[in-house]
Amino acid sequence: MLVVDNLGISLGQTRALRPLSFSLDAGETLGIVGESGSGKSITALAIMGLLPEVMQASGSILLKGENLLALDESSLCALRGRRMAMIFQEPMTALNPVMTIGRQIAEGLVLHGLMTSEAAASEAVRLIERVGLPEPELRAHSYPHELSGGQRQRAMIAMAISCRPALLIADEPTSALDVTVQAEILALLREIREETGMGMLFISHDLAVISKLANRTLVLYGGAAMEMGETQALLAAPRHPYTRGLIAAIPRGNAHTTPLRPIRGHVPELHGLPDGCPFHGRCLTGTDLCRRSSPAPDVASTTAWCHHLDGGQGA
Amino acid sequence: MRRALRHPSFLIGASLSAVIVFIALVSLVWTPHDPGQMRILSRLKPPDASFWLGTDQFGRDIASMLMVGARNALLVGLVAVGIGFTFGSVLGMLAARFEGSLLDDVVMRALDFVFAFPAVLTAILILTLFGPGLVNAVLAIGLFNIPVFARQARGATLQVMTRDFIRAARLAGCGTASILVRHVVPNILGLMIVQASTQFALAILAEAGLSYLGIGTQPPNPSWGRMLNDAQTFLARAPLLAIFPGMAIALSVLAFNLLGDGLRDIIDPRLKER
Amino acid sequence: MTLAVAALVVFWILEVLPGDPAATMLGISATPETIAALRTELGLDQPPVARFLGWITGMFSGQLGISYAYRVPVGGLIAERVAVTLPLAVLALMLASSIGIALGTLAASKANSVIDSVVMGVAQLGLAIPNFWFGLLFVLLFSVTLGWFPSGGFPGWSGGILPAFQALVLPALALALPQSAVLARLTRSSLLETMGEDYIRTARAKGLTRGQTLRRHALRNALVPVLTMMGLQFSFLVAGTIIMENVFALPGLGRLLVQAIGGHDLILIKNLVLLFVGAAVIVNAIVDIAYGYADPRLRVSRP
Repeated sequence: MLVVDNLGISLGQTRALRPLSFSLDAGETLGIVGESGSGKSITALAIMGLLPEVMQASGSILLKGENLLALDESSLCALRGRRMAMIFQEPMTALNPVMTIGRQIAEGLVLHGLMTSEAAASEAVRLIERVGLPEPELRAHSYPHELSGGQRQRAMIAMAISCRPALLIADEPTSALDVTVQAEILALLREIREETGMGMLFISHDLAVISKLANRTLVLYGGAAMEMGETQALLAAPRHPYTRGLIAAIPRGNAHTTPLRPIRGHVPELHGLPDGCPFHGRCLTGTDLCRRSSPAPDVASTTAWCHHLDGGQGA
Repeated sequence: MRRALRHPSFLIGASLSAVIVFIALVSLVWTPHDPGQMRILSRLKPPDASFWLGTDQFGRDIASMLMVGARNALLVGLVAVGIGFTFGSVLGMLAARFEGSLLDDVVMRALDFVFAFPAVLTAILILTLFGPGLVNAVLAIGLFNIPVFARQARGATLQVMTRDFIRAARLAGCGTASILVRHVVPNILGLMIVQASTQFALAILAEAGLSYLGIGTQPPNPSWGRMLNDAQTFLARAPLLAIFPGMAIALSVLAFNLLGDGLRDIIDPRLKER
Repeated sequence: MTLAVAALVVFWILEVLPGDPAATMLGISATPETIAALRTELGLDQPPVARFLGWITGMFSGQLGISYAYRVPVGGLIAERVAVTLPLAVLALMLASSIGIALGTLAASKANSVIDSVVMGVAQLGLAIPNFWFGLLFVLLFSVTLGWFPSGGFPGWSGGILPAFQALVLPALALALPQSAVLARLTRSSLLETMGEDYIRTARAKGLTRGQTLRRHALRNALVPVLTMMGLQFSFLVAGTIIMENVFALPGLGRLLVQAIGGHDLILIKNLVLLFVGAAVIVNAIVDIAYGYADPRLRVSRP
């Protein structure tokens, strides 16, 4: 359904994302994990066609066979919200403070010509109920500041699924929420995916969260793909040193016996992205080769981009 | 400096202001005619070789009156802004230094009140009480400039006071006065000058308004606002009389507004309007 | 509260500071006998506190005193003039906000384009032009040259709405233009700032075009600072009516005030000034209420 082929993003002379390819089927969830600055959010924005004007995208993004990068602005507007929708990280600021929840949800339905405004208003109430908000009638007339963070994120989800899009992009949808609320929102997203059969891109810096939802996972670092594969395989047998580092950094129940192992060093600045493998500066197995050239993909249980897959301890 | 020379509104503003100041200075030593001299036989004449911009209803030379008027406008701006700048800055800095104290409270409340009071009404009250005239008009304009500068100075000082070098100076035993003069003033001066430029433009506008009403500059001193008032009577016969003084006011105000905008962008590029 | 302090200040400046108000009102040519007579008439032999209280209590019962120059009750005099000044101010405020917000929105939606530069250039010019000069130019163009509008005077509301309205359009427009320049600049910068907010991205992700987002989502949020400015501007507008009524010879409060100053009519002046201050206070209260409509977060309680 979604085929991203050699998507590269640059900011002037600076590469923000190295050519990246992945695909997503209907009903499937691809998790994209990475630290801030890894390129995961701009990948999402590029698919939506909402990159800041200073950034340029190359390659192709096919949504149901249509290349989004070749579309003009008005055709993109017709697709946004209708065929693809997005949920953002900050439920506090991502909703318009001066518009009722109901109107914000109904807006897309009317805009894309699916319903009259009266029908959209009652559909909004139904959607609010669907995402599990109590007293939907009342909530439809509430303003965002009258809702809690979790409730707002539910409203965001209702807004995103209102037009039954084929693709839903969720950019860190739970990162700003309490842990208990996080779990509820994840459950809701899973339910909705099963119900509607839409494809989902789930973006997070938290591998643990991704593992609860994603069929497949793509690990990004410094604007380049590190490893991609079935989530279970990737978690069980990570092949890339960076993935291994990420997994080791997840706190587990038996925290007393397994020490957390942070990855040494810091994320390189985008401007100063080194040539070769972006992780080489922090990688324990990094060699001169890693600095000079980007590794080719190696397909086995997962696909990994690393020169030293068979050796070393990783980070 | 190089940035200043490439900034369009600063360039236009600065050169226009320079021209106006130059004209005002020239008027001290030379004008085409005596601006006060009346000529019964050449009243309301259109521009010609001798009277470049024509004459008014008393046969006075408009060009000469405008030149002297520039002097008048600049003087008003200078004194009024000077009053506001001096008293406002000192009050604002003191209020900030003793933030939260009774002094701060009283000063800010009083300023709030002056602020809420329509400025022209203040001016009219003062002019009613002490009689119309240039000096009183300037005092009145200066008075309602004080809160503007005081607020700006207070805000800017509060920001500077949080910086490390102030703490260092205080630890080194510097007194309040010395901290304010040696460390705060140089740091807030830029912002204050920007504000002064804008207020200068507003002062020129205010004086023109008061003089137009007949309670500002008194005859025979030429004032642009007063010239417009005179021109109104003869609007049908000599429309140009109403054009030139208005243009003089607009150009001066524009000059100092642009200068202020440009200075602000240069001093603090972050404040630049996108 | 503000009003009470204002009344005290006005009273103090006009009646206590000058020493003998009667002498001030009569001017230097007055004889001691006429001054004494006026003192008795005005009740000046009473202490200032009693006079102040008398003025305030009179205000609530509608007894504002007798104008010295006009020899008629001040209350009636003012009421008659309000019918000119209030419509003028309201019309000017409406024109200023609609022109200013429309131009600011236009400039912001075409940010950094030629249209943007032109609109902002015009606004810069509008800031520099004194409103009474606008007035004079309008009279020159529309009345003297084209003859479309009366050059001044006011036919009164009894002669029908249209002629009265016609007499108010030019002065209101002249008053409005410099204010709309201020509002246009503010609207533009506020809109551009708002366009960087997260919920704007949400709206774009919904499929709204940049223009639709600007009008439906950004504008209302951006108007909060614009509202604040409109409240502050009201005092400029009051100042403007005083001047503009003299440009167009409109029999309003401003003209009355200038005439009262000319005639040293202290009783009239103190009431007029307080009225203007009161109007400013009321407008600021209205602005506070308008905040609630513009931004639901600022509402005290839900209806």
